[in-house]
Amino acid sequence: MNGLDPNVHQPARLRILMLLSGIDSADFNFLRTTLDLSNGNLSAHTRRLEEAGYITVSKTFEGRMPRTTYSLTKVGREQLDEYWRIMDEIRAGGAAG
Amino acid sequence: MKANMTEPENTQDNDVRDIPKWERRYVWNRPTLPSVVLGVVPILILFGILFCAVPLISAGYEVLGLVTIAVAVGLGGLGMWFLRTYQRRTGRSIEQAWNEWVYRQEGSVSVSEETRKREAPWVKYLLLGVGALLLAATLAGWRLTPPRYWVPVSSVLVVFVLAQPVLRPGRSATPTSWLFLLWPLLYALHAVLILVGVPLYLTGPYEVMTMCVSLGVCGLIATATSHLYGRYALRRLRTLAQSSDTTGGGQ
Repeated sequence: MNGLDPNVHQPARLRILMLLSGIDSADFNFLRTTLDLSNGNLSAHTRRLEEAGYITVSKTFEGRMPRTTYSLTKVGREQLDEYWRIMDEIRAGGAAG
Repeated sequence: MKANMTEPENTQDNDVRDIPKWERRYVWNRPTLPSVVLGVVPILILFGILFCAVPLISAGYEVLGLVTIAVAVGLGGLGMWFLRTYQRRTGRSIEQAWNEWVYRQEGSVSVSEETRKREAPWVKYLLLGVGALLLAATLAGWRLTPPRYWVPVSSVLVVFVLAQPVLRPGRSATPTSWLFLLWPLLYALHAVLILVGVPLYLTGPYEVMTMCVSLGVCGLIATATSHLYGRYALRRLRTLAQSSDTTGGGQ
C-alpha cells in the first residue's frame, strides 16, 4: 500500500503514535479518555504497536493500583516521520496529477 | 478534480498532525491551577500573617507581633519539612502527586525531556545572587517608602521570581505555561499604574495589604486564564484525536 506501514496507517494507531510523539509518556487512562476507545480496543492497538517495537510499555504499581505507561521508541518516531513523508509524497503526486 | 478528491483527506491529516501541538498546550497549562492552589495559597497565607505583624509592632504590640512572625516562620518550616519528607518517601514531589490526583479522570502525562532546556550549574547561583540582591533592595525600599508604593518597590523582585518557572523550564516539578507570565506582567502593570498616580491601593490600616491583594488578584487572573486555555486545548485535542474511524479493533 504505497509503502505505508500498516501498523501506522490504521487511524487509531496513528493517533496513539501522534499522542505519544508530543510527550515523554502517557498512561493507559490518558490514551483511553483522549481517544475515546474501549479498554479492549486500546489494549489491542497498543499491543500491536509494542510488538512492532514502536512503543514501550511500563507497568508499575501506585499503592495497590496498577498503572501502565506508554512511550514512543526511536523506531516508532522514525516510522511516524517516514509515514508522514510518504503521505506528503502521495499528496504531492495526487495534486500534480 | 483529483486535487478536490484529496481535500477531505488532507484536512484530516492536518488535524491529526495538530495532535502533538494541542496536546502540549494542554499538558503545559494543565498543572497551573492545582499547582498555584497548592503552592501559592500557603505562601499568601504566610505573607498575610507576616503583614499582620507589621501593624501590630507599629501599634506597640511588639510581643504579639513577634509571636505572629514566629508562628509564620514555624508554619513555613513545617511545610518545607513535610514537602522534603514526602518527596524522599515517594520519589516524586507533592505537586506532581497532587496534580495527578486532581486530573486522575483524564490520566497521567509527562512532558518530554526535549522540552526541558539544560543550563550551566553557575546559572543557578548567579540567579540566587541576583534574587538576594533584589530582596535586599526591596526590603530597604519598603523601609523608605509608604506602603502604597510597596507594589512598585517589590515589582522587580516579583517579576524576577514569578518568571523563573516559565523562563527556566524543567526546574519546576510540573511544566509551567507561558500564560503564567501574565501574573508578573499584571503585577508590573499595577506597579506602573500606581507610579503614574492611579490610586489602585488600599487605604487606612489595610494599606500594607495592597501587595498581597495585588499578588492574589494578578495570580488569580493568570491562573484562571491558563486553566481555561488548558481546558480549551483538551477539548481541541479530543476533537482531533477522536475520529469516527478510530474504532475497529487492533487488526
